[in-house]
Amino acid sequence: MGKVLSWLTQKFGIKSEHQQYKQQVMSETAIVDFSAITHDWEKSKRLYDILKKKCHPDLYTGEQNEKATRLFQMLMEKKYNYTELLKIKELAVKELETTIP
Amino acid sequence: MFANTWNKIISWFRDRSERNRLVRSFNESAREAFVLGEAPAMLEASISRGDPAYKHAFSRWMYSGFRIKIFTGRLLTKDEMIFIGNTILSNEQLVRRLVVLGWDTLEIHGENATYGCKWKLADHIEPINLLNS
Repeated sequence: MGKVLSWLTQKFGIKSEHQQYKQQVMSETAIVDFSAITHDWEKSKRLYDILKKKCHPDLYTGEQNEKATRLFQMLMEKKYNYTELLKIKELAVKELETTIP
Repeated sequence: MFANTWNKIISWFRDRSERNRLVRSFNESAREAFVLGEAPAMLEASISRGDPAYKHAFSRWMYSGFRIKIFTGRLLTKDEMIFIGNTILSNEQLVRRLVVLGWDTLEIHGENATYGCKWKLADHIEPINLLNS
């Protein structure tokens, strides 16, 4: 019986390092915040579509081209995060002197 | 030996309740967003069979898919499904939690679930070496 149980735990059980990792992940926060997904996914898609057109480096020359390149890189990294996209929008309005609805 | 097995049984039940809690809270949040008019589509999470090819060390032996159905009243484009999938995958904390709770596949489906997109969750978290069982 003992041997069978030991074989079963070896075969299907979770190893101790896995258990530690699991505890670490589960203790990060008690509740996961889903609002960024459930509330903002559509807003971030719409804002990203507008920003990628407004901040495209090909639209600018000289110093503004550098700023647009930097903003465009930020945009690519944060395209799924609505709060970050709002910050990029503010930066674009300020640095590229453009209007974004 | 017996204590070890007992602990595993306890943790199996705990994981099960944690999984259900996660799905429930996702659905509550999605419903709230839809009712408040903040989201034009309603998302609904459920547990599916998953893809056996995406198994990792924490995977449950069956029902290891985290499926999200999107109710929009129209046909979803592939781009939209990929965008929602990537929005979920960009939330590292959530992905880590999904992985340790035994999910290995993320599925995004339209209303009638005839076609959709799926991702291997293990590819989207950091300590990959731990996941090789």
